[in-house]
Amino acid sequence: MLLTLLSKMKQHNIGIVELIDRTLNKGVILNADLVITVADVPLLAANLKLALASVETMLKYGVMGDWLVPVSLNKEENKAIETVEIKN
Amino acid sequence: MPDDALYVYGIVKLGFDLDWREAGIEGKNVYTISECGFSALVHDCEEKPYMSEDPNKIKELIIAHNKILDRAINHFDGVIPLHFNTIIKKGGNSSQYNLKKWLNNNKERLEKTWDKIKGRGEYGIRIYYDKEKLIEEVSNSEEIKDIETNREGKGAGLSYLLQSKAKTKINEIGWDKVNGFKKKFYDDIKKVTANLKITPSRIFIDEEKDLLVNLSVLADNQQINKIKGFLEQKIGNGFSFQLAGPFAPYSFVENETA
Repeated sequence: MLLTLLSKMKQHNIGIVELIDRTLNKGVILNADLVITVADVPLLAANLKLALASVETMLKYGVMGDWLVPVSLNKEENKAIETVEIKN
Repeated sequence: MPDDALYVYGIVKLGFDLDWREAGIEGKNVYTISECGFSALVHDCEEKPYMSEDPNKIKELIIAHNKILDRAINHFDGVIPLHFNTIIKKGGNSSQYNLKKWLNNNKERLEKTWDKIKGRGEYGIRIYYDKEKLIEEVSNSEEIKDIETNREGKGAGLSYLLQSKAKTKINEIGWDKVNGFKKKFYDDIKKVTANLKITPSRIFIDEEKDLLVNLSVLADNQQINKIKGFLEQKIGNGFSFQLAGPFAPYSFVENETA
Protein backbone atom coordinates (compact mmCIF):
# COMPACT_ATOMS: atom_id res chain seq x y z
CA MET A 1 0.00 0.00 0.00
CA LEU A 2 2.73 2.42 1.04
CA LEU A 3 4.83 1.40 -1.95
CA THR A 4 1.90 2.03 -4.27
CA LEU A 5 1.36 5.45 -2.74
CA LEU A 6 5.03 6.33 -3.03
CA SER A 7 5.07 5.11 -6.61
CA LYS A 8 2.07 7.31 -7.41
CA MET A 9 3.73 10.30 -5.73
CA LYS A 10 6.88 9.70 -7.74
CA GLN A 11 4.90 9.59 -10.98
CA HIS A 12 3.20 12.81 -10.01
CA ASN A 13 6.49 14.45 -9.07
CA ILE A 14 8.07 13.54 -12.39
CA GLY A 15 5.18 15.34 -14.08
CA ILE A 16 5.65 18.37 -11.81
CA VAL A 17 9.39 18.58 -12.28
CA GLU A 18 9.13 18.11 -16.05
CA LEU A 19 6.54 20.88 -16.12
CA ILE A 20 8.64 23.28 -14.04
CA ASP A 21 11.70 22.55 -16.13
CA ARG A 22 9.85 23.43 -19.32
CA THR A 23 8.11 26.48 -17.87
CA LEU A 24 11.31 28.07 -16.62
CA ASN A 25 13.66 27.12 -19.41
CA LYS A 26 11.63 26.99 -22.59
CA GLY A 27 8.95 28.78 -24.57
CA VAL A 28 8.98 31.66 -27.02
CA ILE A 29 11.06 34.61 -25.92
CA LEU A 30 9.99 37.98 -27.26
CA ASN A 31 13.03 39.89 -28.39
CA ALA A 32 11.43 43.30 -28.16
CA ASP A 33 12.60 46.44 -26.43
CA LEU A 34 9.36 46.79 -24.57
CA VAL A 35 9.43 43.43 -22.84
CA ILE A 36 10.58 43.17 -19.25
CA THR A 37 13.58 40.89 -19.56
CA VAL A 38 16.93 42.60 -19.46
CA ALA A 39 17.38 43.59 -15.87
CA ASP A 40 14.82 41.59 -13.99
CA VAL A 41 14.54 38.14 -15.46
CA PRO A 42 18.03 36.80 -14.72
CA LEU A 43 17.39 37.53 -11.05
CA LEU A 44 13.99 35.92 -11.25
CA ALA A 45 15.32 32.90 -13.09
CA ALA A 46 18.04 32.44 -10.49
CA ASN A 47 15.44 32.62 -7.75
CA LEU A 48 13.12 30.12 -9.41
CA LYS A 49 15.91 27.75 -10.34
CA LEU A 50 17.04 27.74 -6.74
CA ALA A 51 13.56 26.59 -5.81
CA LEU A 52 13.70 23.97 -8.54
CA ALA A 53 17.05 22.73 -7.28
CA SER A 54 15.59 22.27 -3.84
CA VAL A 55 12.78 20.19 -5.31
CA GLU A 56 15.30 17.98 -7.09
CA THR A 57 17.18 17.50 -3.85
CA MET A 58 13.99 16.59 -2.03
CA LEU A 59 13.10 14.08 -4.69
CA LYS A 60 16.61 12.66 -4.71
CA TYR A 61 16.42 11.88 -1.03
CA GLY A 62 12.80 10.81 -1.17
CA VAL A 63 11.59 13.72 0.91
CA MET A 64 8.13 14.89 -0.05
CA GLY A 65 8.25 18.34 1.46
CA ASP A 66 5.65 21.06 1.74
CA TRP A 67 6.63 22.28 -1.68
CA LEU A 68 4.92 19.36 -3.37
CA VAL A 69 2.24 18.09 -1.04
CA PRO A 70 -0.28 20.89 -1.67
CA VAL A 71 0.00 20.23 -5.40
CA SER A 72 -0.98 16.61 -5.02
CA LEU A 73 -4.10 17.65 -3.17
CA ASN A 74 -5.49 19.80 -5.93
CA LYS A 75 -7.54 17.84 -8.48
CA GLU A 76 -7.51 20.62 -11.03
CA GLU A 77 -3.75 20.84 -10.96
CA ASN A 78 -3.40 17.07 -11.02
CA LYS A 79 -5.39 16.98 -14.20
CA ALA A 80 -3.16 19.58 -15.77
CA ILE A 81 -0.06 17.52 -15.22
CA GLU A 82 -1.37 14.03 -15.67
CA THR A 83 1.47 11.57 -15.73
CA VAL A 84 1.41 8.04 -17.00
CA GLU A 85 3.85 5.37 -15.95
CA ILE A 86 4.10 1.94 -17.45
CA LYS A 87 6.63 -0.50 -16.07
CA ASN A 88 7.33 -4.20 -15.76
CA MET B 1 0.50 51.70 -9.81
CA PRO B 2 -1.93 51.17 -12.71
CA ASP B 3 -2.07 47.85 -14.55
CA ASP B 4 -0.81 49.24 -17.84
CA ALA B 5 1.41 46.32 -18.82
CA LEU B 6 0.39 42.97 -20.27
CA TYR B 7 1.36 39.52 -19.05
CA VAL B 8 1.34 37.22 -22.10
CA TYR B 9 0.77 33.48 -21.62
CA GLY B 10 0.77 32.29 -25.19
CA ILE B 11 -0.54 32.76 -28.71
CA VAL B 12 -3.51 31.00 -30.33
CA LYS B 13 -4.96 31.17 -33.80
CA LEU B 14 -8.29 32.84 -33.16
CA GLY B 15 -8.29 36.13 -34.98
CA PHE B 16 -10.84 38.04 -32.93
CA ASP B 17 -10.93 39.43 -29.41
CA LEU B 18 -12.53 37.32 -26.73
CA ASP B 19 -13.23 37.99 -23.09
CA TRP B 20 -12.24 34.48 -22.20
CA ARG B 21 -13.02 34.89 -18.49
CA GLU B 22 -10.44 32.38 -17.37
CA ALA B 23 -8.66 33.15 -14.10
CA GLY B 24 -4.92 33.39 -14.65
CA ILE B 25 -2.04 34.23 -12.34
CA GLU B 26 -3.30 35.66 -9.03
CA GLY B 27 -6.87 35.26 -10.33
CA LYS B 28 -6.43 37.89 -13.03
CA ASN B 29 -8.96 37.88 -15.86
CA VAL B 30 -7.45 36.46 -19.04
CA TYR B 31 -8.59 37.82 -22.38
CA THR B 32 -7.25 38.00 -25.90
CA ILE B 33 -5.63 40.70 -28.00
CA SER B 34 -5.74 39.91 -31.70
CA GLU B 35 -3.86 40.90 -34.83
CA CYS B 36 -3.33 39.26 -38.21
CA GLY B 37 -5.35 36.15 -37.35
CA PHE B 38 -3.49 35.44 -34.12
CA SER B 39 -4.56 36.18 -30.56
CA ALA B 40 -2.37 36.64 -27.50
CA LEU B 41 -3.73 35.36 -24.17
CA VAL B 42 -3.08 38.14 -21.70
CA HIS B 43 -3.96 39.73 -18.40
CA ASP B 44 -3.40 43.30 -17.26
CA CYS B 45 -0.52 43.72 -14.83
CA GLU B 46 2.04 46.09 -13.43
CA GLU B 47 5.36 46.67 -15.15
CA LYS B 48 7.24 44.25 -12.96
CA PRO B 49 7.84 40.51 -13.08
CA TYR B 50 6.15 38.06 -10.77
CA MET B 51 8.66 36.87 -8.22
CA SER B 52 8.79 35.57 -4.72
CA GLU B 53 11.19 33.94 -2.33
CA ASP B 54 8.43 31.64 -1.14
CA PRO B 55 8.58 28.32 -3.04
CA ASN B 56 4.85 27.81 -2.55
CA LYS B 57 4.14 31.13 -4.20
CA ILE B 58 6.43 30.25 -7.10
CA LYS B 59 4.66 26.94 -7.46
CA GLU B 60 1.31 28.75 -7.62
CA LEU B 61 2.61 31.10 -10.34
CA ILE B 62 3.93 28.27 -12.47
CA ILE B 63 0.78 26.18 -12.10
CA ALA B 64 -1.44 29.19 -12.91
CA HIS B 65 0.62 29.99 -16.01
CA ASN B 66 0.31 26.41 -17.23
CA LYS B 67 -3.35 26.11 -16.36
CA ILE B 68 -4.11 28.81 -18.91
CA LEU B 69 -1.99 27.07 -21.53
CA ASP B 70 -3.77 23.76 -20.86
CA ARG B 71 -7.16 25.40 -21.20
CA ALA B 72 -6.00 27.05 -24.41
CA ILE B 73 -4.96 23.70 -25.89
CA ASN B 74 -8.47 22.39 -25.26
CA HIS B 75 -10.32 25.51 -26.40
CA PHE B 76 -8.23 26.52 -29.40
CA ASP B 77 -6.70 23.19 -30.47
CA GLY B 78 -3.22 24.36 -29.58
CA VAL B 79 -1.16 27.14 -28.08
CA ILE B 80 2.25 28.64 -28.72
CA PRO B 81 3.61 29.00 -25.17
CA LEU B 82 5.59 32.06 -24.23
CA HIS B 83 8.41 32.04 -21.74
CA PHE B 84 7.17 32.37 -18.16
CA ASN B 85 6.96 36.01 -17.01
CA THR B 86 6.74 37.63 -20.43
CA ILE B 87 5.48 41.13 -19.67
CA ILE B 88 5.02 43.82 -22.29
CA LYS B 89 5.59 47.38 -21.16
CA LYS B 90 3.78 50.51 -22.20
CA GLY B 91 6.75 52.53 -23.39
CA GLY B 92 5.84 55.54 -25.54
CA ASN B 93 2.63 53.90 -26.80
CA SER B 94 0.33 51.40 -25.09
CA SER B 95 1.26 47.85 -24.18
CA GLN B 96 -1.61 46.69 -26.40
CA TYR B 97 -0.16 48.56 -29.36
CA ASN B 98 3.27 47.03 -28.71
CA LEU B 99 1.84 43.53 -28.54
CA LYS B 100 -0.14 43.95 -31.76
CA LYS B 101 2.96 45.28 -33.46
CA TRP B 102 4.90 42.19 -32.37
CA LEU B 103 2.14 39.86 -33.61
CA ASN B 104 2.12 41.68 -36.93
CA ASN B 105 5.90 41.57 -37.30
CA ASN B 106 6.01 37.85 -36.51
CA LYS B 107 2.98 36.66 -38.46
CA GLU B 108 4.85 34.38 -40.85
CA ARG B 109 6.83 32.67 -38.15
CA LEU B 110 3.72 32.28 -36.00
CA GLU B 111 1.93 30.62 -38.95
CA LYS B 112 4.80 28.20 -39.41
CA THR B 113 4.91 27.33 -35.71
CA TRP B 114 1.13 26.98 -35.49
CA ASP B 115 1.09 24.50 -38.39
CA LYS B 116 3.57 22.39 -36.47
CA ILE B 117 1.95 22.42 -33.03
CA LYS B 118 -1.79 22.50 -33.90
CA GLY B 119 -3.61 19.52 -32.38
CA ARG B 120 -0.44 18.22 -30.75
CA GLY B 121 0.93 18.13 -27.22
CA GLU B 122 4.44 17.77 -25.85
CA TYR B 123 5.36 14.65 -23.90
CA GLY B 124 8.46 13.85 -21.87
CA ILE B 125 9.70 10.28 -22.26
CA ARG B 126 12.35 8.83 -19.96
CA ILE B 127 13.67 5.44 -21.03
CA TYR B 128 15.65 3.42 -18.51
CA TYR B 129 17.76 0.30 -18.97
CA ASP B 130 18.82 -2.40 -16.55
CA LYS B 131 22.54 -1.80 -16.09
CA GLU B 132 23.22 -4.94 -14.06
CA LYS B 133 21.52 -7.12 -16.63
CA LEU B 134 23.54 -5.50 -19.40
CA ILE B 135 26.85 -6.02 -17.58
CA GLU B 136 25.93 -9.65 -16.95
CA GLU B 137 25.15 -10.20 -20.62
CA VAL B 138 28.39 -8.55 -21.74
CA SER B 139 30.40 -10.51 -19.16
CA ASN B 140 29.04 -13.73 -20.64
CA SER B 141 29.90 -12.78 -24.20
CA GLU B 142 32.40 -14.89 -26.18
CA GLU B 143 34.91 -12.06 -26.34
CA ILE B 144 35.09 -11.72 -22.56
CA LYS B 145 34.99 -15.46 -22.01
CA ASP B 146 38.04 -15.83 -24.29
CA ILE B 147 39.98 -13.33 -22.19
CA GLU B 148 38.95 -15.15 -19.00
CA THR B 149 40.00 -18.49 -20.50
CA ASN B 150 43.39 -17.03 -21.38
CA ARG B 151 43.87 -16.02 -17.75
CA GLU B 152 43.78 -19.62 -16.60
CA GLY B 153 47.19 -20.96 -15.66
CA LYS B 154 48.87 -17.59 -16.13
CA GLY B 155 51.14 -15.99 -13.55
CA ALA B 156 49.80 -13.36 -11.16
CA GLY B 157 51.12 -10.40 -13.15
CA LEU B 158 49.76 -11.50 -16.51
CA SER B 159 46.51 -12.67 -14.94
CA TYR B 160 46.04 -9.20 -13.43
CA LEU B 161 46.69 -7.54 -16.79
CA LEU B 162 44.16 -9.81 -18.51
CA GLN B 163 41.61 -9.12 -15.78
CA SER B 164 42.05 -5.38 -16.35
CA LYS B 165 41.72 -5.95 -20.07
CA ALA B 166 38.44 -7.83 -19.51
CA LYS B 167 37.07 -5.00 -17.35
CA THR B 168 38.00 -2.39 -19.94
CA LYS B 169 36.43 -4.49 -22.68
CA ILE B 170 33.22 -4.98 -20.68
CA ASN B 171 33.03 -1.22 -20.28
CA GLU B 172 33.65 -0.58 -23.97
CA ILE B 173 31.14 -3.17 -25.17
CA GLY B 174 28.63 -1.95 -22.57
CA TRP B 175 28.83 1.67 -23.73
CA ASP B 176 28.60 0.61 -27.37
CA LYS B 177 25.45 -1.31 -26.56
CA VAL B 178 23.98 1.62 -24.58
CA ASN B 179 24.65 3.99 -27.47
CA GLY B 180 23.15 1.45 -29.86
CA PHE B 181 19.99 1.15 -27.72
CA LYS B 182 19.74 4.93 -27.52
CA LYS B 183 20.02 5.33 -31.28
CA LYS B 184 17.51 2.54 -31.93
CA PHE B 185 14.90 4.06 -29.59
CA TYR B 186 15.45 7.49 -31.13
CA ASP B 187 15.16 6.18 -34.69
CA ASP B 188 12.08 4.05 -33.94
CA ILE B 189 10.23 6.89 -32.21
CA LYS B 190 11.23 9.26 -34.99
CA LYS B 191 9.38 7.01 -37.41
CA VAL B 192 6.18 7.95 -35.54
CA THR B 193 6.87 11.68 -35.16
CA ALA B 194 9.62 13.75 -36.70
CA ASN B 195 9.22 16.26 -33.87
CA LEU B 196 11.59 14.68 -31.39
CA LYS B 197 14.39 16.09 -29.27
CA ILE B 198 16.90 14.60 -26.87
CA THR B 199 16.59 16.62 -23.68
CA PRO B 200 19.53 16.87 -21.29
CA SER B 201 18.29 15.39 -18.05
CA ARG B 202 18.93 17.34 -14.89
CA ILE B 203 16.59 15.28 -12.80
CA PHE B 204 17.16 11.74 -11.57
CA ILE B 205 14.27 10.36 -9.62
CA ASP B 206 14.47 6.59 -9.74
CA GLU B 207 18.02 6.03 -8.68
CA GLU B 208 17.75 2.28 -8.93
CA LYS B 209 17.37 2.62 -12.66
CA ASP B 210 19.77 4.00 -15.24
CA LEU B 211 18.52 6.60 -17.63
CA LEU B 212 19.16 5.63 -21.23
CA VAL B 213 17.66 8.70 -22.85
CA ASN B 214 15.34 11.58 -22.00
CA LEU B 215 13.22 12.68 -24.94
CA SER B 216 10.69 15.39 -25.69
CA VAL B 217 8.22 14.57 -28.42
CA LEU B 218 5.47 16.56 -30.08
CA ALA B 219 2.61 14.21 -30.89
CA ASP B 220 -1.13 14.02 -31.48
CA ASN B 221 -3.25 11.41 -29.68
CA GLN B 222 -2.78 8.78 -32.33
CA GLN B 223 0.98 9.25 -32.43
CA ILE B 224 1.44 9.13 -28.66
CA ASN B 225 -0.63 5.97 -28.43
CA LYS B 226 1.56 4.42 -31.07
CA ILE B 227 4.70 5.45 -29.18
CA LYS B 228 3.27 4.04 -25.94
CA GLY B 229 2.47 0.78 -27.70
CA PHE B 230 5.99 0.59 -29.06
CA LEU B 231 7.55 1.27 -25.64
CA GLU B 232 5.30 -1.26 -23.93
CA GLN B 233 6.68 -3.93 -26.22
CA LYS B 234 10.15 -3.21 -24.87
CA ILE B 235 9.14 -3.67 -21.26
CA GLY B 236 10.53 -6.87 -19.77
CA ASN B 237 13.57 -6.85 -22.04
CA GLY B 238 15.66 -4.83 -19.63
CA PHE B 239 13.90 -1.54 -20.34
CA SER B 240 11.28 0.55 -18.60
CA PHE B 241 9.96 4.04 -19.30
CA GLN B 242 8.01 6.93 -17.88
CA LEU B 243 5.86 9.22 -19.94
CA ALA B 244 4.69 12.64 -18.74
CA GLY B 245 2.32 15.02 -20.43
CA PRO B 246 0.70 16.42 -22.41
CA PHE B 247 2.33 19.79 -21.86
CA ALA B 248 2.17 22.95 -23.95
CA PRO B 249 4.75 22.50 -26.73
CA TYR B 250 7.54 24.41 -24.95
CA SER B 251 10.40 22.49 -26.54
CA PHE B 252 9.18 22.96 -30.09
CA VAL B 253 8.72 26.71 -30.34
CA GLU B 254 12.02 28.11 -29.16
CA ASN B 255 13.95 30.42 -31.44
CA GLU B 256 11.36 30.11 -34.14
CA THR B 257 8.88 32.84 -33.39
CA ALA B 258 11.08 35.18 -31.39
